Amino acid sequence: MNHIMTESAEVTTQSKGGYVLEVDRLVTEFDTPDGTLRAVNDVSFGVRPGETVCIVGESGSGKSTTMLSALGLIKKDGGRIAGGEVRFNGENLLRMSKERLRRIRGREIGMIFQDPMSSLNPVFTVGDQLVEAVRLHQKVNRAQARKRAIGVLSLVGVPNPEVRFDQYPHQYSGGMRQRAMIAMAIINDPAVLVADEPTTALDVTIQAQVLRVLAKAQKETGSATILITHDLGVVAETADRVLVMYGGRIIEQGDVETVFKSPKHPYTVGLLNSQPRIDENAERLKPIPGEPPNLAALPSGCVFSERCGLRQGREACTSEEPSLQETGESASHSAACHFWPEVRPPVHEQETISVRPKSVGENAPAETVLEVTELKKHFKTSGGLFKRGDKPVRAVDGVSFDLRSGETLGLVGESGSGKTTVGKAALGLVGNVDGTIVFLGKDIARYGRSHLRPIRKDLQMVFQDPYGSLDPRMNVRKIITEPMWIHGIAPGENGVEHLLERVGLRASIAERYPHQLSGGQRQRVGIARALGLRPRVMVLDEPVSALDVSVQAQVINLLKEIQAEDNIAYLFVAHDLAVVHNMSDRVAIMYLGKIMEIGDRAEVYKNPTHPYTQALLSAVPIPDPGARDGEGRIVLKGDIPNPSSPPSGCVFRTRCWKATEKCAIEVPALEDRLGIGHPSACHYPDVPQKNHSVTARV
Amino acid sequence: MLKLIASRILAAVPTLFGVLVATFLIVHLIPGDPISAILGDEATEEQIQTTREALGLNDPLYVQFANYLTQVLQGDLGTSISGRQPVADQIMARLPATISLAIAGVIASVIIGIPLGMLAATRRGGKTDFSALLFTTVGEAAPAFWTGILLSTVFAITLGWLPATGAGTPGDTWSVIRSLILPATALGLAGMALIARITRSSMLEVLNEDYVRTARAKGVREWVVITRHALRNAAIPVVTVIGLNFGVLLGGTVVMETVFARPGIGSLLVNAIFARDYPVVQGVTLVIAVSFVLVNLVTDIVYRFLDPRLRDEVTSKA
Repeated sequence: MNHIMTESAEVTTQSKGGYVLEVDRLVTEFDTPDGTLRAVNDVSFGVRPGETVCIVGESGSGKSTTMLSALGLIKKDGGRIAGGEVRFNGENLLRMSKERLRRIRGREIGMIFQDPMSSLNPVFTVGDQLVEAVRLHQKVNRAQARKRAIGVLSLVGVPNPEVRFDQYPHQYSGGMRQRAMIAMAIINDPAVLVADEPTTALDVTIQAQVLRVLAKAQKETGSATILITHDLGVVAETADRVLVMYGGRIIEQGDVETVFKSPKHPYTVGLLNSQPRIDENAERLKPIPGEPPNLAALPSGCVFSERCGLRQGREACTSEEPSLQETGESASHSAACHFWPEVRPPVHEQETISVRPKSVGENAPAETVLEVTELKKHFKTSGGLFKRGDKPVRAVDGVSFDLRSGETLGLVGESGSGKTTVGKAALGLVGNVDGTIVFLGKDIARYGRSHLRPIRKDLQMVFQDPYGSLDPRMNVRKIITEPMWIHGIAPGENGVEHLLERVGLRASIAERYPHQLSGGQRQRVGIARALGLRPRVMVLDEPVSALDVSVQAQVINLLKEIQAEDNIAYLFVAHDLAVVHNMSDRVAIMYLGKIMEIGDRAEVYKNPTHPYTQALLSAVPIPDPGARDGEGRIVLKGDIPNPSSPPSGCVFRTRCWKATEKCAIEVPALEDRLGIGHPSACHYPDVPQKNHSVTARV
Repeated sequence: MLKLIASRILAAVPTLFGVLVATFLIVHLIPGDPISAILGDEATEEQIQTTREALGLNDPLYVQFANYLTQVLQGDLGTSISGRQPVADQIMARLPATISLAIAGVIASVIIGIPLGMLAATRRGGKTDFSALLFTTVGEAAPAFWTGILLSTVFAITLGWLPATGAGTPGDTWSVIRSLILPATALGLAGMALIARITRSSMLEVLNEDYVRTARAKGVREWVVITRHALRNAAIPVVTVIGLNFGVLLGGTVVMETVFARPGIGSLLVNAIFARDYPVVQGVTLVIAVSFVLVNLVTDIVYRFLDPRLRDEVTSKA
């Protein structure tokens, strides 16, 4: 990247550790009605040029607040920095004039935020926002700035940068917006790049693209990078060093290999054990008990003591706060645990411990409860009075599958794949569908409301958003009993307390309201509500994607236990391939309203024959730094096409490296061409070799 | 944009037709007779019948309406019953004074309301915020005629800085502007209070948006963050309120024209109602309805100017 001469002098007063940015005993507090919260408590670390430091943690760990405080960007309402220093090239950012800080922000320190949807200003063109970023810090005219902006857009892989320059953010796709955001952050060749959950809002194939762009941008600028994330896979993929945060503190830090291979804090171990992985076969996850800490009521002593399995009632854990101690595992590896030598490494299970009585094949042959054939749902977009309506959006375009009692079918896909619509349609919640949906011998596809009502109790749904799907004005008891009352089911044996116990909640929660519960508790209430009706089929629509990793593992285990006890059939709709791998017996991979590949879970994950499945699986970051696989990874080009005008022939062909003329003409049928036991919809299926050498394209 | 304007104008046709029907019916169904207003109580039965016949009042309602509609489409709003003048001429003579008063009222409410709201938002919770809130509460609570009289007493009668009555000498721009200041301020006060409040809450919301944080992270000066990055995003609900408020202001001109003895559409309408002068009432109502439609059109265009997402709504939905 060409260095444009800038007004700021090249300051090279670096600190002892050679850090370009150094956070030193930072404390950030927020005043709330519950008292003063310490969101960041005595956090110290530094980052060197060219190095990537990942800050990893669950919600409330203080990982984002740390960096926002460092740059003076915390919300003004009651937030303040109560102590410490943040030094950029030796200068304290927290004490300098507003004008000096302004000159450093965006010039020396670039920031990338989580949600590319909301982080770009909707009323200015992307070009305007890039030009503004250049001209704030460099004395160049508009034409020069434009040239520079187009150059950077092209560097981050935005196609047709000259045209894209004049477009508004809403005309960009999510992945393109994040590229534009990265372009804006690196346009002035910053010394430090801070990325706050840069890929969390993106689909996994787009995440792979963006991570690659980030790595490229860092290489070009030679900047020090601080990447904030909750995703252990992304950490393993990108980090040189890792900081693990919990309850506002750093509880473990070190180089990425040591932290993943021999972590010395029980929380880090718990986090790694909670994470489902596509390369492992743990039937049952080992979650951390409890919930991430409430900053208003932190335990005394060690912040993790309440959830820690290592504590075993020892007094030191509750009386004295442990400080970071060198463990000697590797240089600068340290952990804040009194008993760190006792910490055992995370468990890697390859063997299968079956916790569920397998109904399939063992007892009586499992009954098919739901049979969906050639399901189609086309949404019409309305035109105005004088406009023609657009083409219909083919949300679901010919999907067939069956579901047996006691089994889980995982429905995986990226945004726009139609997976949620399939889930809702299977419950008769979508009107005007084509095809058949046979529930226990009856085709409910064209049932009216009154016909559906008696069946509804057999077909239940658990929703993604545990905040939006519970009525805030009802207490838990009412939330759970209302559907039972509607269907005339006497609480009795299925009483609220019993249901709460089954989902792992205390009976006293019955009198609480949703806002008094944590995300995990709300999701459990949502499951209890569905369970009260003793359903035969449950559609789980992204039931754990809003939860922290440690809580997610608890809910996954709970769902499995319930299924084993009640023999319920689950249609598990999700985008997270690792979670689907852990939950499902069979999986169906969806793309643009069609099933690309369907079959036994282990079969599909081990021998994916459809290029899309191969790309998806290859894009999932594995939480193991040893498994970094930069070159062998398949990175798909481009975005998911608009479902209102899907490509002709095979819908995946526009992003497929195998596509030929035939693919543009002939729709591939879903069939087992290779005779390996499960079908895929590709003209040229193959079983990939390890480290297949597909040319990666960004 | 041209297509938008064309489609909006077409869509206004049924609205205007509805207005015509409604005013026609209301005027004809309210009790009272224009004949007695024209001829006085002394008129003979024969005189009354002749006049009724001449004015077409003996025809069935639908015939009267059809005749009226034909005239309107030709630009003829009829002849005033009491004044014997074409209604269109009467309206055109008084329209500029009213429109300029309403526009001046809007300008007064905007140039004070928006900065006040921005100031309150950026100093949230401080003394400035509190004072602005107090000012807007008082401004909203005070009736326009009262503030009008108050302003007139202080600035026109006691201090003598500005004229207390009239609409200025036509052609003398300065005198026209001077005559507008007091009634426009009184008229704009309630609107300015509303605009300040909406601006404040909209700004507070926008200042919490991620893109404002992005702007700060880029190193944009705080002043530029507020005026460039935040204000344009915060403006949409404010424009809605300004548009709605314009209607209230048009109604308010009736009062202000009375308090400040200004000739205008408002006073014309009030007099016509008392005189049962159907054509005038209908004509004025129609003109007010048309100006509502125009204001809505302008609001719509301003939305699209402010927010590019609205420019290609249909394509972005897909």
